Amino acid sequence: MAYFRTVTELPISQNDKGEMATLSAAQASFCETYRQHLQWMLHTVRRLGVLDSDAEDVAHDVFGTAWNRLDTYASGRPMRPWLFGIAFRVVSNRKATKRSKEELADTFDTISGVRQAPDEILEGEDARRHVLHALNTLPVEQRALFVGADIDQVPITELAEHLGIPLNTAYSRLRLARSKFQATFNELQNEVRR
Amino acid sequence: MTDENKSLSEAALKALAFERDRPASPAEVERLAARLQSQFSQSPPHVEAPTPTANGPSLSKSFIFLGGLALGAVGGAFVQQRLNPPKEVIVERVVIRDAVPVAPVVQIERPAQPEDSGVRIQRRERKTSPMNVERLLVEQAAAALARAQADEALKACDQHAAQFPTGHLIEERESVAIRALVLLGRQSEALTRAKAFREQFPESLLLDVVDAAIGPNQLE
Repeated sequence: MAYFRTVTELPISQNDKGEMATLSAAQASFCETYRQHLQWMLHTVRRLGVLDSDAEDVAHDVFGTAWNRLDTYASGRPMRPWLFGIAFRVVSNRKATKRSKEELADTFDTISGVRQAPDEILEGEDARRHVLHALNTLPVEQRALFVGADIDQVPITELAEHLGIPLNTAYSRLRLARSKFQATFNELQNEVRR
Repeated sequence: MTDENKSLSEAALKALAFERDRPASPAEVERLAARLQSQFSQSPPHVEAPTPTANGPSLSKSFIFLGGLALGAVGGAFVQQRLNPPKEVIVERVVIRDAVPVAPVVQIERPAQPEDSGVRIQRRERKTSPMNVERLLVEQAAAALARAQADEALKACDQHAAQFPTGHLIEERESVAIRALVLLGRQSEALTRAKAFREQFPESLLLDVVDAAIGPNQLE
């Protein structure tokens, strides 16, 4: 039965070519490039405070929003800062509606994870867990600046533009975020050494 | 770093570097890619909605109004034709002139009323027809497999096998079931089922899919 074959068996690229004929140039370009950013986006939404179990859904929302707002993307410029701005808004809106439940669960998970960490040096998973725990102590506005600038290494001018805030505000939030992050990180290190 | 970040210690910077190089999760990426692909392929190109003018009705409202006027005129002509029997020669001429636009309206609208309920009943019956249920089960299995939920896919396949032992979509069901078994790591079961598939459907279009799932030369 041929209908079934077309639904699941065709390689992705073949389907894409067929569909792209009906898409605008911006949509076709987006279809070609968005796959490069899937893994990064999954990590980014987690860093912005989304639970592991929800990361896939949130990343899906981000790309869906990006698809509907392609007119705001300036072609030729890097896509990640633009996607990052959308991710920040999606996560912020989500946290505004689901804050209490998620944050309680989030904090509990990371704290219990830290207490179970071995006393050895901070490497690999331990280091990553500490980073996520320290990030969780930051307000989402500061966290976005910290993740964008210090993990994804996006220039702060671009971050300010895509987050929709003045440059001075961006610098100020980043400074506060670094300070709080370092303090929490130090506490975690001391706790593990004890 | 893109900016001055001397406020962070060496250990923190090292931990951030670890976080930056966090390993990938291919299964998760594949799932997300599959979901997005289906969304993007179903979503039509963005079309700007017409903006209503500030001083008058929108274009669509104008069309509705004009459509209503036209319908009224045609209806009026039809009623007039019925009420005024063509006794006089001069009246007959008027009826003949108007008959061209009126005739299609009579033909389309009148038979639509008695048939309407029948069409609804037919549609309702089609939804629950055995063929439709069978197709839905196989599609459910295929969708689960596309989401890498091999357990769900296999359950749907088993349900299909129990409900439709001599169904029309056995070929499709078996190809999904074989790939689901491979995904679950149940190679020997998958191989047995693939051999049976080849014997039962030697000319199947899905043979290359089954072969690819089992591995090269396994069915020889």
